[in-house]
Amino acid sequence: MHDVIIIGGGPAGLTAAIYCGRYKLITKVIAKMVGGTISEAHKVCNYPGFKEITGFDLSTKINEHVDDIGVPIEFGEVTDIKKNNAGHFTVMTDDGEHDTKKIILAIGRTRRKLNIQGETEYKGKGISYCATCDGYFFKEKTVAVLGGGNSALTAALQLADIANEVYLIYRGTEFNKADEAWVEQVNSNTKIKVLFNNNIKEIKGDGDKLTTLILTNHDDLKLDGLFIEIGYQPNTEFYKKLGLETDNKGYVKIDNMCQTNINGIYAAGDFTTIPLKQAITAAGQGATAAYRVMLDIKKGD
Amino acid sequence: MENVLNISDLEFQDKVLNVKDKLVVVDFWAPWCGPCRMLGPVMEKIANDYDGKMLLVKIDVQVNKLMATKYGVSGIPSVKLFKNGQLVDEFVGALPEQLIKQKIDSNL
Repeated sequence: MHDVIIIGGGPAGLTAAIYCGRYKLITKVIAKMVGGTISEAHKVCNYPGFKEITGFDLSTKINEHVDDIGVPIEFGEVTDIKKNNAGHFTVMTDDGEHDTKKIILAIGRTRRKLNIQGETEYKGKGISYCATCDGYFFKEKTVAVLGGGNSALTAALQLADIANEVYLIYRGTEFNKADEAWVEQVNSNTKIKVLFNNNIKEIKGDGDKLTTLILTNHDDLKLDGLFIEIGYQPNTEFYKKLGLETDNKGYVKIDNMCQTNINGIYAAGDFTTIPLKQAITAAGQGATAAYRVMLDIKKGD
Repeated sequence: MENVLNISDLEFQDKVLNVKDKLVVVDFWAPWCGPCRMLGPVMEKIANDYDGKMLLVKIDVQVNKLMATKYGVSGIPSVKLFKNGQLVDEFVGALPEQLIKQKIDSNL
């Protein structure tokens, strides 16, 4: 019997693991993969202690910290969670069953897809959702980025170092969702051409790779790559079965100690209603959730 | 028998195309790619689960561009399944373990 099982391997889940480990709770992390959304970030410049670090390096350091404390991380997919009569839980994965007193959910978000024709067909054949991963393949080529938030702007800046030409396509008329620091850099970068008030109507290719974008308010774009950066949606795999309470966008509601509406289940990170979705706030929630679990276990819950 | 190999472009013929007795699963990855580094241990676990029936071959595209270019890789992680030297299936991105196993099962 575990004291707590943490589901999710991003900054929220792994910080919870660090705290639970140091509280000497019997803890296990179950994650599909470790790293989380932050591991795809080109540069992280606002995580205290690191003036500039790649998202991958940051998540590697957090992972090493968990290993050092000795909390086991098991790779697996959670298929079901059952609550038993004693108020404890059984977490079922594709590899087996795990009994636990408490659960911290930290399952994060998934990139939003555009859901238009050609998107699935040309994924990995010109269409990418990760400029950090795939920018390398577009050296001296023409690419576009779709979106107007921080991840779109940083993707455009990163690609401008590699590609010949970068179109930044955004449906809005100004970048009011992005940090001013990034907007200034985009505006002064001569390789980036911003197309406001535009969206992608159709994605076309030659069967093997992407070739053309049909836009709503601009001539067709001939290009080699498209990076889709239109935000995220919360992961929802456990919601219905557990009866977790969410807001109307699907984000899990929690109190200020990360308790959900279900006794014994806590939530931390990007898939909660926390207003600022950042590695640092996810880590903070992970710590809070771990603290709350420790208090409840001490009370004998 | 080794279930996981790290190879260079020069070994592709020998370690991928010439293998006839098992499914060869090629994982194109790079050190800067977070999802690749997350998928890596999952793929290695799968390779050991299918002990003897599949061979996982990892190619770091930062130093090996030839085969990645030849097979049109422009997004990673890119995983390609070879049977008797023929490309039989592929996927891009860090899929969950069960989905990957389904792809392998249907090509064994």
